[in-house]
Amino acid sequence: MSSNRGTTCSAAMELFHRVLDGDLMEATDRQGMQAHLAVCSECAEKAGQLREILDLLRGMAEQPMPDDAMREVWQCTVRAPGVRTHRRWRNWRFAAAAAAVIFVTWTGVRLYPVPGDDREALRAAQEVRMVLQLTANALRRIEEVAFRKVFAEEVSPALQKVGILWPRAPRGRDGNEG
Amino acid sequence: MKETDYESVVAMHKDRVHSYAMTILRNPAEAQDASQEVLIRLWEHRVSVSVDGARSWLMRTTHNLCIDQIRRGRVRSEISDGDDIVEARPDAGPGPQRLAESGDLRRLIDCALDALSPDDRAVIVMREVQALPYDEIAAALDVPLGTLKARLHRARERLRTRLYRAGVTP
Repeated sequence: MSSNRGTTCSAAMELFHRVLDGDLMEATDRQGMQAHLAVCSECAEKAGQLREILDLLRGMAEQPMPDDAMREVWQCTVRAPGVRTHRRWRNWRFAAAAAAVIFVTWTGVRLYPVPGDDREALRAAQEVRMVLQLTANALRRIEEVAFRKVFAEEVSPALQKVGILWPRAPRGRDGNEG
Repeated sequence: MKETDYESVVAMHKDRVHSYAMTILRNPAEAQDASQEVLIRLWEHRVSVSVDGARSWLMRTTHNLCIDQIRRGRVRSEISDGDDIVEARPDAGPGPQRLAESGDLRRLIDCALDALSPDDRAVIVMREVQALPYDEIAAALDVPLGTLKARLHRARERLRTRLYRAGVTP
């Protein structure tokens, strides 16, 4: 073990690790370490190796999560049955309502009657009413489908757990009877 | 954390979690299972985990899960332990550039990391590969800052010795 101005090899290397850590240190400690490394080839070589190794480690690429593994994570979390059903349904309802308003407005403009032509006005009004009726029916249908989905995926299993409904035969992950 | 936050947090950190699990477990299938379990646990605990604290939570949970698996002896490394490579080159080797060109460098570093204890490997990977801040690593590993730094210094020295013997450093 060599020393320089009272700094031993082990002390110099300990200080060098603190430099690698990014620690602030006393000027005297830093100078002592630098003076030691200047005269101790063994420690200087070790310090150079350490720097080189850390550069290599910092350049290592990440090992990305495989896509199929992530797909399973999403299916167990944000895309699990029931998790975002309501949000999606709300989005659907909003989109459907917006589309209906746009369509009705467009229809109204297209069919706006020539002033004084009562038969044309009546026909236009009937067509607009028909469009509104179709839109309302479509929204009701979407609501029924959403309700059935929520019932089948959440309400029914909960009722089965408390014994109100007979449980169905167990199914495999792919939907086959198992 | 909201559901939409969960998606962005996972998208940001999933590769970090998987890389860490891979480095600690050294088994691709086990690392994938562990990563999936961690990300699903985050979903289950999303109410109590903030977006800012998510990275620390993920690293702590990944580390604990991996260490549990190792302690239970469930993990069998599918990657060569590299002792043959490391010990076969006592003299100065070809240097990092030639090794990198031949594709051996990553394997040698992996082997040298593999030779460390899981705790030493953990600090090296979190600090030197993933560049996480010290306080976050200390929280993830549940050790005081002083202990963490002492462990890091020791792990660096062990890694240096292994790679020096393997001829990675001149």
